[in-house]
Amino acid sequence: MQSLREQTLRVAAVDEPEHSMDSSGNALFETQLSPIARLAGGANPGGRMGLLKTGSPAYLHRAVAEAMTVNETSFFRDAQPFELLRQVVLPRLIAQRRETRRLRLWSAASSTGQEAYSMAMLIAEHFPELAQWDVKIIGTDIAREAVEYARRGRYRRLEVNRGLPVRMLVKYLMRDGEEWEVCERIRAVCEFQHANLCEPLSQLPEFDLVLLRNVLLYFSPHDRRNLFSEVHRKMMPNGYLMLGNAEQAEDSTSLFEVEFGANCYFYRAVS
Amino acid sequence: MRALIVDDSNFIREYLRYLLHRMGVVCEEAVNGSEALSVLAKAQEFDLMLLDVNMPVMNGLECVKALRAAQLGPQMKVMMVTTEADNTFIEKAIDNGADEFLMKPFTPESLREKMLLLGLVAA
Repeated sequence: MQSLREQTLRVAAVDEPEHSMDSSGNALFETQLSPIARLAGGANPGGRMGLLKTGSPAYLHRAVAEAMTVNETSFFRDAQPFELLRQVVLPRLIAQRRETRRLRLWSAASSTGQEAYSMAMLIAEHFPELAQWDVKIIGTDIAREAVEYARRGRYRRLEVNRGLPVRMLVKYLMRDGEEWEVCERIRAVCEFQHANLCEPLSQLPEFDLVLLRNVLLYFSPHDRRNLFSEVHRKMMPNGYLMLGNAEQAEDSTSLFEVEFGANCYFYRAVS
Repeated sequence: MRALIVDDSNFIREYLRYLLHRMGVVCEEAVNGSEALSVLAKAQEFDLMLLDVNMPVMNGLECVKALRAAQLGPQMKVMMVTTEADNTFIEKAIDNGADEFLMKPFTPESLREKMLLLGLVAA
């Protein structure tokens, strides 16, 4: 089973599984993979291993990668990082980009889209002057189903119940039966694409702000350094990077300068 | 922190009390809007009211309107906890003085996230 786990994590493009999986991860591994193995016809762990190793179809690789990443998200997740955006980061970027009037924001590992839409709502609510700018928020995720879900911009009751202030709910989402649809004005600034953070991100533009939150747990130290290097390469001069509450860019200190504001750490890309 | 739970359902009151207790919140209960106003008139030191809408005697919309008009617990946050979710209904509740909405059914995480939005718990 160990080798299947290692193989799976390579499919998900993570090289050193011992850094990202612990004993509790094995339960997740079993739970998430069993349905896929059944659908793929694997009768036992050895058989499943064979399916993955010997020219297995791309859809199976995708299904395994998607099963092994967690789509936990909510609108305005953790709240405080969005205060940091409102109070510090966006005012600075607006001052710095006043000439070009262009902003590119990246929700890396955007899951089902709530983080990207939250940024768009925050901008609409607090920075109305940006309606005249060229602003684009790009969400990317390794899970194609999550990308499709995000593109639809339709959320169920349990999803709009999480983290979304009620005044924003009635202002920016429209109820349609048992779902709520993000309004056109907010959807217009958001795009969603499939992307694997372990591969070159050549299809993406350069960004003024990157949100890379609650993703690093999937990566070994080696892959983290590569990821920070690639993210840095995709950032505009003086662009900003925000990580999850418990995450640090501790092994990439030559690329980013750490700052503190609104009770959060954040990072500025250095040239 | 102190909270007043207002709901005619025993189950919902007990569930909310359990979740809030885990966050260190001391709770009192009322079974309708009228009873809630009586509790507030005697002791106004609540930080949060969790208010159902469809209740006998006095519903949640009437209750929030009355307590705001009487300035009972003026600093208290009022979170409507209800299955009602139409935009027009939500806007009416906000006009009447509600601060937040938690739709039923809800999860412990969604309750906590709404309290975070109201500044009642830390991230």
